[in-house]
Amino acid sequence: MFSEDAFTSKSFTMPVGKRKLYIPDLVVQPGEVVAVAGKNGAGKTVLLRHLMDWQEGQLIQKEGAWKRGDLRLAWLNTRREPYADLWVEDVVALGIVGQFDKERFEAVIQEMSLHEIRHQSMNTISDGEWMRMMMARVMMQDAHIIIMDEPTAHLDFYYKRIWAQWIQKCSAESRVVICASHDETWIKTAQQIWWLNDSELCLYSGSEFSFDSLKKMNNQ
Amino acid sequence: MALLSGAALAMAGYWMQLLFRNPLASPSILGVTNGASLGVSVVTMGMGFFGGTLRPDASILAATMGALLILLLLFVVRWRVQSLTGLLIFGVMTGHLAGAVESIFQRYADRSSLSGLIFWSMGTFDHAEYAHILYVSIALVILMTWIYTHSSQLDAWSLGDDTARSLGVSVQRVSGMLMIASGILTAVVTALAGPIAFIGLASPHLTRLWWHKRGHRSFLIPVCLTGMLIALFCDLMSRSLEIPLNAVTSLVGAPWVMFWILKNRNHVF
Repeated sequence: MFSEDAFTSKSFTMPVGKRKLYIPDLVVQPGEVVAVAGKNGAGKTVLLRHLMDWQEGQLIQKEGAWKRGDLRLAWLNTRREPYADLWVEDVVALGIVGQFDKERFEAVIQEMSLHEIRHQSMNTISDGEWMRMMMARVMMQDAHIIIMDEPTAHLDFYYKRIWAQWIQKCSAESRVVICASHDETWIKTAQQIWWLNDSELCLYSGSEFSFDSLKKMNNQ
Repeated sequence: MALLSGAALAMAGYWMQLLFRNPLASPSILGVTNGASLGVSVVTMGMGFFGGTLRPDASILAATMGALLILLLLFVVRWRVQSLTGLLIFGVMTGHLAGAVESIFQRYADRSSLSGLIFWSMGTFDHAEYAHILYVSIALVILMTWIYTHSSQLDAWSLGDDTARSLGVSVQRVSGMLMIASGILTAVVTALAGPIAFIGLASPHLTRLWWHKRGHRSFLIPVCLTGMLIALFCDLMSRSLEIPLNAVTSLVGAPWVMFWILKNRNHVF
């Protein structure tokens, strides 16, 4: 539905603190789900930011970055901006692309159980509610590529399940999902795992992932 | 003049808090008022030295240059200093530096320029002329209209750089816009009524106490009204007690900031 071509990135080296991290050639097929994993401080967030060299919501053509143009991109992270002060429904509405579809908007608000807090300031809601609000915004965005940095960090069991179902739906619609996560169960379901060790990104498939392989990866 | 200056300072404070995503940012705390003040002092001294008279538009231009210079410096520093506390202290220090340079200029000023500057630095709406009212009105209407048309971008901006970019917002353009608008409004009021503290800081917070709706589009006018009322109140107090306007705004504003920090002690920094 969203794209038929693969997304590719040429190899490059990026700085992570005082280290250099080698990123090999990357290819992601439409509908693939990529889990970005590694030890704390491995550089997952830096990698997500570095790969997504976006400009005004569209990826630009640049050496080392995704070679695609005219694509919508959605970004979700756990960081709470202390000064941001909007109503919950206003934040979700920021994700609307094109014509306002009231029915869909209300469905997303209901699905993420935001109806009771929709007229509350985002400063007064809990971390879990914040994450649900941001997920609802991303759902409204209809993006070709969805990049998430530990989206399930504050979610309870029920909403983790809702989130996993939504990822499956995105995949079925040929969207690309790239997500940094520490959730072992979810990582196993991804088609690709980009494991970051101290010096390079190693490519694995979800089926290769187990606790034994994790120990091996950490020792590399 | 009090009403218009209050509105302008409230807007400058609100946009500065948005720009730095910091609830304690304001023209006076971040040293922007001092920058504008330094600009005015320098041209006043220069005019005194060459025996000329300072026109209001030259004074506004000098104040704008000073204010924008400080804002630009702070904005560059913001990329390197992630901590809100660090940024605020940097702003306070910048204000002190601008104040120090200003006092050096004053040391060599002639008597008439110096006495004029001292009265001006106390802040007053007493000497307002129709031309002054016109200058503030024009700046306020143009800048508010300009920023209002970008309301949804400002809402996205408040969610952080990465999220804003993914929502199609040009971070450079929005930050430049906020910097120019808040710098000009601070400069115009400082040039015409003197450096006035705390109205910019307190207005957005006080507005949240009585205005329920959020978002830049619906928040703009209420913040403006709050600034107008505070400035009017302070001007009336200043006239009835016969004390400088800046003393009143500080007497009202400083306890408010202390109270606000105590109330939000776990969330401010």
